[in-house]
Amino acid sequence: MNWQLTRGEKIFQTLNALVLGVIAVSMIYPFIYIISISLSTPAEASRGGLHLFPREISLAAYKLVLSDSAILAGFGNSTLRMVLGTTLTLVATCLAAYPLARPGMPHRGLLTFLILFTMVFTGGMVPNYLLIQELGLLNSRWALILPVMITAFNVIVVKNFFQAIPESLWESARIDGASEWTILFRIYIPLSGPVLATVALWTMVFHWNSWFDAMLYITDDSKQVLQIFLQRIVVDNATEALETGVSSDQASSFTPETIKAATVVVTLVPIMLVYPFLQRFFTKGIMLGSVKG
Amino acid sequence: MSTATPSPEPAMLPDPNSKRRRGGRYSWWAPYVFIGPFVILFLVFTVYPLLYSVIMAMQYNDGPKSAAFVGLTNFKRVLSDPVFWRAMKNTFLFAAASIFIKLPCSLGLALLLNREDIRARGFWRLIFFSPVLVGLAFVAVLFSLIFEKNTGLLNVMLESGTQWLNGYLPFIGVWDIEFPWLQEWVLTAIIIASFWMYVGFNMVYFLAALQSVSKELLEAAEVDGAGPWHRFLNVTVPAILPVGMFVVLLSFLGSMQLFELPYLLLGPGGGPQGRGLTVVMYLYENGFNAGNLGYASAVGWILAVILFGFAMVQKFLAGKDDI
Repeated sequence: MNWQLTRGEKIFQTLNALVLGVIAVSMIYPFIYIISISLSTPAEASRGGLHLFPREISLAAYKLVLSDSAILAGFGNSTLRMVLGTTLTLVATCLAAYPLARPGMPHRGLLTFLILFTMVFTGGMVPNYLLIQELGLLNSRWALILPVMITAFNVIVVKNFFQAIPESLWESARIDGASEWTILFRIYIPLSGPVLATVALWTMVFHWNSWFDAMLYITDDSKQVLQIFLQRIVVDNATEALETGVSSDQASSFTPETIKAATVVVTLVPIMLVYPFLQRFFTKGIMLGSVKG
Repeated sequence: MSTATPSPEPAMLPDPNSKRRRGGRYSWWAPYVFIGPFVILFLVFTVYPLLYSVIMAMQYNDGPKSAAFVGLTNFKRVLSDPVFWRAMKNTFLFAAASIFIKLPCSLGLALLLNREDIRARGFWRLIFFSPVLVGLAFVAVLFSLIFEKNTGLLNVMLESGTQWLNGYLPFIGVWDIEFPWLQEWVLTAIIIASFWMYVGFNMVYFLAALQSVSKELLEAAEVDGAGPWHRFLNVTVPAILPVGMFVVLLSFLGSMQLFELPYLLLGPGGGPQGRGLTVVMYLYENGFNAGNLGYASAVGWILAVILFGFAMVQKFLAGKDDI
């Protein structure tokens, strides 16, 4: 490699870094802004302009949000949905992908068709709602898990990975008398760590962030997911609900903005927890099944 | 793109001899049992609602329990409703912005990141990618703060920006900017929020595609005296075209189904005078608020036809039958 850079190249390199830096700041700054607002006193929060680090820190908004039983229940419900949904997705996706990855299964054309099909025709809000109603799943947690349990996309991603596992492994296991079940769970799944981690992370993030299906199907607040409280806060400006039963001297320690911001930060916690793993699997996984060649 | 290839080491495998020998016969039905859940869920949650919506689109509903067959009347009524066309126009404008503004920016970002002199590429990539992870409800809360008319970040920055400019170019004057983003500049606001959320997501596709561009070919072109622009047009573009087409398709499909972001930021009606009303919001309003499920299904089918048409055109242009 040629390390003797011309003047033009140096200028270009600096410009490049500058542009990237500015964009990176605009991607990251909103997070800092919202964390800063959530920690601010009312006077500090209502000040316009850039917020980097609050000059006066107040944890009042967090105290309020974290002492709200509805939000805590929402956190629990979202976690349950995420864990249960992801587990079922993994199991069902592996089961479906395995026979499709085996040679001799007439699947290629059909799968191509299915993935295009589910990408374009997503059933539609209205018939989906009526279906859930007919199945008696309204106000049930299963309504949030079953319809999204297996997607053609995930199946294709895992299938492609399974196909790359050498055929000889399957053959020798068969000769030794292993059943298909054993081969899947003892050979294929243990060898597919990266792709399963990818699918799991996608599914977890998807479940955690979903709110619209919960808005349609869940009417009972004790089963409601966390994102719905965010939605209520932003759409209906429903911070008052949190503020009921708060004495007036306490009420002066937060504003609707700080409450909004604190709620948002609380919902980010699980995403922050999986963040270190995302770098490894998420971006790689994006490409796995989408396009081959 | 290559499919990641696992490198299984034989030592990792369980010793076949230590296992009980059972189920030795090849069971022809095993694949069907394995794939059963997929097929059942697919039939129930994709195929059934689809067929259902065909029937519903030809019904008139007055409340959930009463339905009368009305043929194609719903479609006629949808297509003659000016509100539907306004929603369609908004949605297409948004889709156009996604494809012609956001995607080129994603590609540009990917090209910048793909340079050999960039260190810590994974770090940058993660930063640009972060906004898509946090979810629409988060983005909506965030931008409802940023777009606030008086104290919101965007207006404050615009104002201080013009003040700063005024120091150098006094004829500009100091603008007291109070753009009512969520009252009048509704569509622009939605485009900005969605740009922030998805530009890095699409960049990752382009970045992965760029890494498959042959370095030998680029070097050969350079030796032959091709400038950077020619190298980009004649070597890079053909190599990333399949991924590009795929990203355009994804972007179009996603944009046409735009719903959650404007719903959260503007409320179900799409803001003042429906300035941010999209097709799916129109569907939702008619189906769930007005209770006319047949009408809403007709809207859904019109949208589905547009999406399907675009997907077919894309597939035809891509000239491949394999995903």
